Amino acid sequence: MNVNIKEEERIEAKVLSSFLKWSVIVSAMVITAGIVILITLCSTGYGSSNICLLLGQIKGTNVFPVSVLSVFSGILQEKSFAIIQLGILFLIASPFIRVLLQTGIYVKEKDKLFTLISTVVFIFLIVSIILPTLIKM
Amino acid sequence: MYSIGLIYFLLILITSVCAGMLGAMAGLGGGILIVPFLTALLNVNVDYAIGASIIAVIATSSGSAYAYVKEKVSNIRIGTFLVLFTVPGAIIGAVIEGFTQPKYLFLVFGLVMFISIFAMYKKIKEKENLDPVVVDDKLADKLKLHSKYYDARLKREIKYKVQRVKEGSLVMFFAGIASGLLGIGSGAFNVLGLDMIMKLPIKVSTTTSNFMIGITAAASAGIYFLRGDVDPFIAAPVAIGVLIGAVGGARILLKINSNTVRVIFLAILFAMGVDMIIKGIGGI
Repeated sequence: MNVNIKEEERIEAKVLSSFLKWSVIVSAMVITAGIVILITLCSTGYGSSNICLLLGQIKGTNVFPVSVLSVFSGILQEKSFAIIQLGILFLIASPFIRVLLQTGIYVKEKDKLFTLISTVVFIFLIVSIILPTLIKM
Repeated sequence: MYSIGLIYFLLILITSVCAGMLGAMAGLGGGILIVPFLTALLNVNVDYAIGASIIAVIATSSGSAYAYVKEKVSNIRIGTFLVLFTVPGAIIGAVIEGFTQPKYLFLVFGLVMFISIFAMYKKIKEKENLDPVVVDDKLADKLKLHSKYYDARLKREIKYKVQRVKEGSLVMFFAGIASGLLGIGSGAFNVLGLDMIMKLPIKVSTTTSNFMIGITAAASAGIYFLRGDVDPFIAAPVAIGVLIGAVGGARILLKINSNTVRVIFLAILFAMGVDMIIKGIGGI
């Protein structure tokens, strides 16, 4: 029994740590790609807000995509700010996926208590995103 | 509107590396470094600074938790169980934020931090007890929270039994409320609860807190993003810098002395305490 628990914990640690590693690498690469495009093209991709980093201080405006849809449409047009935002979105999404992944591991381990706990945590996360929008309405 | 060039960009990056490194070791997000730096020195709008700081918390968590989970220093079961309390706490805190007087709350929590500094400082002066007397906790047994980790500095395995899970959970709930109410990360209070109440080894406390803060922060990050508070020009160097710092900080933590971890944590706690008292007196 004891040996089993150790083995399960080992798998959990392995799966989670490799997920964390890859989520960090992917978001860092996407954000870096966005920065490189921003520097080389001298353009955020959003109207007048052109920023030439290498030319010193140039005024920027706060025009950037703030919805998932606008991020994706911006990427299709190779807008540097949209690419950076995609990397940021990957970063924000990774804890959500992390909790889902944990739930999957607990289900597989037949750990009912922690399956329940991680499911409730995931529900809380969804509520925390939806609730402020509801209250504002 | 802000005026920024390459130098500003690099300054944000370097500061974020430091914030990520310290945050990864102390178990918190490094917002205490990033927000004042961006607002006071670079004149960044406070909303964008907080938006970037939330991204920094997630980056610290993901960047450092990779090493901590792999080396099995952070206790995933404790982290997952306690997030059950911080997240609803944060939601409640954010909801009641509009009805409270933050001025007094900043003073109260600032005071809590200073009291904690003294309590934890006493622990540094005492000789580290690697095999402390433990009180049995039925809930901890049931949740199978007890564990062990290999301390690379001491070159030995350290077993620990988790204590006072109920009290710890309550602290986490209030840590969440404070985080939602005051717009600060819950990391500092997490570490205090794990270390002082649940009696985990300090390295397990800060690394488990690191595991938790990403999940708590992700809950609010989506809202900040959709609200337009995450400006890619600021968030990009912050995210990259913090990720680099957190990966490095995690490597350092595994190798250093436990008391050094406490000193780093206390130094940050002191900065946060001062910041909160000033905000309390100023009434911002």
